[in-house]
Amino acid sequence: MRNEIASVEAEIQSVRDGAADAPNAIKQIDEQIPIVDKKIEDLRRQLAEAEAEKAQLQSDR
Amino acid sequence: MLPESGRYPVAPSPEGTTRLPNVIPTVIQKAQATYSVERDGREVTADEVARNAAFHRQLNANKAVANLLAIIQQLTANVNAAKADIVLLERKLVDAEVASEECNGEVFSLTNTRTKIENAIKARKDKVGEAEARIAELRAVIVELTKKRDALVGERTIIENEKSPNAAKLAALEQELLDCQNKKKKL
Repeated sequence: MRNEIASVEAEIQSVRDGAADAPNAIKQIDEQIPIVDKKIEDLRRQLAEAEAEKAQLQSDR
Repeated sequence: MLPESGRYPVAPSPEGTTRLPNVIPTVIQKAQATYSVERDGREVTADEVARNAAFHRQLNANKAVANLLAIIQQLTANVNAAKADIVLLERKLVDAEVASEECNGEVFSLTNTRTKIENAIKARKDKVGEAEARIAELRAVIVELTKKRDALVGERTIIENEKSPNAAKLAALEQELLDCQNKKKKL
């Protein structure tokens, strides 16, 4: 019985800890996603520039 | 023709004042005798043969001299023409040498231009290759970052679904704990 109570209490503490850390984790992810989006956008811009440069090089004989 | 008398007629000597022209020269001119070998011919002497031979040798020598003069004249003309041609040909040779030098210069210039064009083409191809490599690299990085972004979104969803404050799950656990504690008291 004591063991069962201890197990339940540990599970409750785990849930509480997880719930306490969740906002912070979500906040970190929310901060990282725009950075990644910006990086992807920048890379896509560089890709478009590289493709345009390639097309220019191939057409300007 | 010789008259039958064998002598040419002779006009009487003029007397008194001359009134008519002298016809004797005309008569002599018209009365020419025909040559006859039996009558008029004679044996050729050795001296005549020798003289004739000498005459012919002299004639041949004169012809040879004339031929030599003609040859010398032709040679002189040839030499003079050759001298004139030499001047002209020397001028043409100089012109040809100048043209040859100009052609060599042009060939050199065209070769340099060709080399420059080939280098430019190679540089352009290299740039195209670099651009293609850059494109491939960027595409791979974009794909990788997109995967990471999707992973972040998925992780966020998991946190929101499983680790967010779950009142129902916590209440159930607290109820379970309360039940356990009550059982413990009864015991």
